[in-house]
Amino acid sequence: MDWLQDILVAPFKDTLFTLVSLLFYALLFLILNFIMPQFKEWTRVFFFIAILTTTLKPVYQSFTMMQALSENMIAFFSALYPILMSAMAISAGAMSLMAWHPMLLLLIQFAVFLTGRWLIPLLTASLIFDFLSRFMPEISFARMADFIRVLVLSVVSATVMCYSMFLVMNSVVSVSFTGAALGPLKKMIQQNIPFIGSFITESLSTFRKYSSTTATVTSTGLMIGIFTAAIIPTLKILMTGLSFRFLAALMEPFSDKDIASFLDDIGKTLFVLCAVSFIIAFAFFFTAILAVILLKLQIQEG
Amino acid sequence: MEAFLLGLVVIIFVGKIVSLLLEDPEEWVILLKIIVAIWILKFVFNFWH
Repeated sequence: MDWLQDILVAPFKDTLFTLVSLLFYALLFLILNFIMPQFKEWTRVFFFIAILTTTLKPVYQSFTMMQALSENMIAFFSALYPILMSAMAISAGAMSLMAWHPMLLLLIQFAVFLTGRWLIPLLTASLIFDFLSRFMPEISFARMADFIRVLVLSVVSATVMCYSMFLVMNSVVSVSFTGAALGPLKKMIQQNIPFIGSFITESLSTFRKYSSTTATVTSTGLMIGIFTAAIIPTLKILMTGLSFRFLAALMEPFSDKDIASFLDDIGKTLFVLCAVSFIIAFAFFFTAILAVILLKLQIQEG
Repeated sequence: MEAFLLGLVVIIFVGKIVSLLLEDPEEWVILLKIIVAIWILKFVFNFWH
């Protein structure tokens, strides 16, 4: 259970530590403002720098984790796909059962490449634009930062839609589920996770449909195992994003409006990064399941 | 893109410090906007070619 605690609780523990540091800085700068009101602008700048140095570590860790993950996945797929393709070519039975299109493998590889090469750098740029807009409100890049976030989210949505389209087209997902039991949970996620809530529920729904179909071939335990492995980085980033929004809410009464907004913007950007991590989660999940199915069918045929 | 962003951060950061040092920074902010606009144009031009 330690790993679960590490993912779910650690970001909030870090946030509390950051909060204590920031409240201390806020108190210090409020006293300075009270003593020397003519240097109010200077203390604001120094407070901004203090916030940046205190809060940047978890954000930097999330971005480097995603970058490293996408690079590792590209290397992993480059090694695995030729073997998978050969196995698919040999195993005609598996091909007819799964009706798996080789184009899907190409799409997965392209999506992961796109993530590492464009989406993560673009999100870094949006974070920098947010900082500059709050640091010097006279020259604002807020709309640019918002535009980049929406653009990245659109690309992610389109990629996930392509995944789903391929799966439906190739009859991998053929069973329709009502999902009545999951209705309230979906609504809760949609309403409580701002910005990407509905995206998360739709993606999870695709995962669920796909899992239900392939679980007939593989075991449910194995499916859950692969699903958990695929979703861990996403969950970690989501928790970090939520902790930043929580931090912004807590800091609002004691600090400058721009500072609370900046922390809120960091949270928003991390939510979009979380959506980007879904691409990698999808890629890993589908590839792992395909490998397992091929292996099982080979063993059965043998 | 890294060089462009780094340059932008440096321009804004130095610009903010200078604007704090000046008595009446309004004209300086206009000049700073011109510098930022040129920097963005340079990036777009380099990107295009």
